[in-house]
Amino acid sequence: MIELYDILTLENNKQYTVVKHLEFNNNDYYFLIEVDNDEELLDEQMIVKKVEIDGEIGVSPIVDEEEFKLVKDLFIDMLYQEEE
Amino acid sequence: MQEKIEEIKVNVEQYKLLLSKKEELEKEYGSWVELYGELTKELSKVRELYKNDNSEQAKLALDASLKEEKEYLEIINEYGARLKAINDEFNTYDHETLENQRQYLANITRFKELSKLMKEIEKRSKKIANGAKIGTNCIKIANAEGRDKNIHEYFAEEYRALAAEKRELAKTIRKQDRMLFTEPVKKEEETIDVINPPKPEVEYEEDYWEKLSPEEKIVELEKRLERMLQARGKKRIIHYKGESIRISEHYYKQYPRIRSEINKLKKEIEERDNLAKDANLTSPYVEEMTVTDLSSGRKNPFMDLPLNDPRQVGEIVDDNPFVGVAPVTPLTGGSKPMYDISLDDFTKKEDSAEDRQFELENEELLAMVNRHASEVKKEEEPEVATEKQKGFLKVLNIRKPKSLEKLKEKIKKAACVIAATVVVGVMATPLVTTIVESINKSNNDADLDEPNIGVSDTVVEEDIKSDLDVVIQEDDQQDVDTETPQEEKEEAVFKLGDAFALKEGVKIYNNMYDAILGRNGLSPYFGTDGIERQIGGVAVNYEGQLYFFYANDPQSEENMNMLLANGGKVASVLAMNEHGYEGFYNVNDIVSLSKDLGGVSR
Repeated sequence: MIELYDILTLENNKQYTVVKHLEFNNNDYYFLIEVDNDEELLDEQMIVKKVEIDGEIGVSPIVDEEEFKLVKDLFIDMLYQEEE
Repeated sequence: MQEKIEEIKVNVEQYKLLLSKKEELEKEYGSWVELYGELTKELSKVRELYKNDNSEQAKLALDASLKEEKEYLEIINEYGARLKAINDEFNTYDHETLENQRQYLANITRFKELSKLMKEIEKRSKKIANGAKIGTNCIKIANAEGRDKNIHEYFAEEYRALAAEKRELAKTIRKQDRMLFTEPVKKEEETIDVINPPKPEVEYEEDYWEKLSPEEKIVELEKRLERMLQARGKKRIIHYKGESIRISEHYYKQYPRIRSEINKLKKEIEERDNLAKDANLTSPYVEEMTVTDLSSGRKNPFMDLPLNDPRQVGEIVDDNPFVGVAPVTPLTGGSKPMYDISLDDFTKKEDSAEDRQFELENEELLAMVNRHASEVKKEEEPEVATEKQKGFLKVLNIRKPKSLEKLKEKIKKAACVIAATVVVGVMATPLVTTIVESINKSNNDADLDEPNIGVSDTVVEEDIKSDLDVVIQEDDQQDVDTETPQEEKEEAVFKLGDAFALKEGVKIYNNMYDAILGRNGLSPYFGTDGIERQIGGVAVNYEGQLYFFYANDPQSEENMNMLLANGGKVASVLAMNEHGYEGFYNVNDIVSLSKDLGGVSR
């Protein structure tokens, strides 16, 4: 179960924190930012979709352009709201 | 109608003007009366003072005061006359009508406003459907509910509320229309004896009414009602699907005798059919009822074909699409009542074409929203993965952060910049590398006209919205018109990390879109001078796409220069100062670049 602010270690051996989470049409989307060992934010950011393949939980990029735009806009607004 | 509205507008304006004149005059008149009162007081003092004084001086003083009083009186009388004239004119106006007209105009204005708002919602809803950016308010609702469908519901609810208000307003306007533009209803027409009407010109047999079946009586009564309504100038008969006639419950209420008579007849039909059913008999009226007979009165789309009709079930027997299309129930045990619809059904129906239009609009919007929702659902249904998806990264470990509060704080601080950079797309560098490679390739390959700008698996490029395109094109145009000889322009190279200054009074923006479009700007947090700013990142418009380059990425500068050399243009700059990232500026708001670092004045 992935929750907000959890630190995920992905297959690429990088660590990411879950900045935002969105449930949308039976999918889970995450806005991830790479963090170092001290949990300082790094530059790399990702908007990904939770995918479960053969019982393995993972994330994958959103390939569909329209879907990506929609999710990205939702995340952007959520981020701006946080700033306010 | 439009002419009449224009006329009303003129009337109301004239009325307003007259009212303001009147108020002004009353005010002035009041001030003169006040002055006169004071003068009279002074005059009585003078009289008192020189009461027993027969000197020349006393006489002069008294004369002067009396003269002044006379002058004042003249002025007051003049104002009084003007005021009377204006009051007379004012009284000629029908104030009640004018007030009604004023309200009518206000209602029309609001009606138009509502139409605009509804269109706006439609636009916003369509934007969602297209995956475009949606308003913050809607997002808030979406967040609260946690489901995107609520965005659509939100729109639909808002739309419905507006439509309801519009519908009510339309009714009010129609009432006002009738009140303002039509002649008052004549009493005599209301008092027609509907049950025993005066004999029509055409001679009927004495027992004409008695010979009619209950169904035919209903038809007759409705026809009478229709005639009476038409005599009053009310064409309130709704022609549903071409031929069938329905009369709004509203109008039945105005004619309670017809209403009760029809109800009585319906009851009679019901009882008769029940009796017939019990006795397994055919209705005595069935034989007499044929489509032809009824077409002379009215056509009922719900009517069954009689048993003796040679036509087949389902055959289209008339222009009316309903007649004969519906499966015909065999008339065993009596015919169905000619009217399947109860009077109560009428109340559910809208009583004007305009109302139906609103309903249709609602339905269309809801249909659009539902369609979109189902499409999205269909598109986004989790696919059964038969092979590992491209770009799939397995989650090896999930842990809680060491310090949740600190991490939250860091994210909150960075939210603005994060959001701004998300706008550009994630992992910009690999994408630009692709483009640069493409450019290099295209430079080497004469056959390839366009660089291959694609979306890689992990990188997403951002389409610039159409309005942004316009702005950029305008900027380009301005560049051509106002700026620079070519050589000078080529010198204006942006170097990542360079220092720069700002023009007076410029705005800072939360994201580069706003910066480029010049919207939602704020005053720079640290003022426009006295602080050293550096280029923390640059947004480049290359062939209608925006690409963002961070200053701290070693690959960025090379890639950016490659885009700039191939026709890309700097559109916005992310400013950085000793406090960190400050925000975005429009490129035109930057006055100079640090010369010692290779920049030039703009």
